[in-house]
Amino acid sequence: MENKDIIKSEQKKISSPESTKGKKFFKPVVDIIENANEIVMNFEIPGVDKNKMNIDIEDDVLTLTADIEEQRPNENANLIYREYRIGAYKRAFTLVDTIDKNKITAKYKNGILTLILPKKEEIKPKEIKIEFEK
Amino acid sequence: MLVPKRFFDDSLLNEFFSLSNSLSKLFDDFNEIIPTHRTYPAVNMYEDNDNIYVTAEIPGVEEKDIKISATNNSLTIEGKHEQKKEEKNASYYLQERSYGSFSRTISLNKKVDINKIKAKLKNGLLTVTLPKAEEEKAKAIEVKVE
Repeated sequence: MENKDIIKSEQKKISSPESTKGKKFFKPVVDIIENANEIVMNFEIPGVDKNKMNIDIEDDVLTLTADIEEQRPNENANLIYREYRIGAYKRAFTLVDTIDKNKITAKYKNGILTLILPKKEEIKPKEIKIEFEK
Repeated sequence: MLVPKRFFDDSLLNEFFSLSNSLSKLFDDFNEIIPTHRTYPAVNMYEDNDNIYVTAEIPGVEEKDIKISATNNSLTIEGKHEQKKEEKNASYYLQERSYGSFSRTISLNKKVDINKIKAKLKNGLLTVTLPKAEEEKAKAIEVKVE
């Protein structure tokens, strides 16, 4: 677990009211990238309506949920062949203290949800000038 | 006594525990559905009286990177999924998404009119509408009762 400093551990058990229904969720795949000022998460959640997406932060746990309805290309069209299933997405991560939780931003484009988690000012790398003694 | 030292090596024990950890992780994962398709993109197909519809989930692929071609009984979807330049050299904590180019040909059960094929990309969901050839459409025939 090399990444435990940043994202402590992925929550396996999610205790939110929705989970008690025993509903199955798709776990969206994600890329997590770190740069000097922020951590960027890119989730693949195709076919979701922007306002059906929810990002909750509770007790350091960031939970992403997205509801989706199967959109038939046409009302009268019948499914004749299926390779992929359609269903709600859910995934949760524990955030570390170094993330400024009030400044998390999200955007959705081409089926990719991008979360930007800025680091707190005090932990950003700073250049410090050191005078050498002569 | 001549007992090979490595049998008592801690690292072997560690390996055992890490194996048992990954096994329990495997079982934890059973309540989550992880897409495991070998062919990309996975497609669903719909049909109504006039058209055949092929849908595919291709998140992150841009419209300009998709090429769709067809014959009267097959459809080919080609495309590439490029990683952004700034992402190529970034430090990754987790990389689960895959990148590269793909090409898939799907055979259709009905003849289609290749001049009227339409495609739409919305929120990473591709929908291709293929109008059926005239001879394939179900027609209502009036039968006179004598």
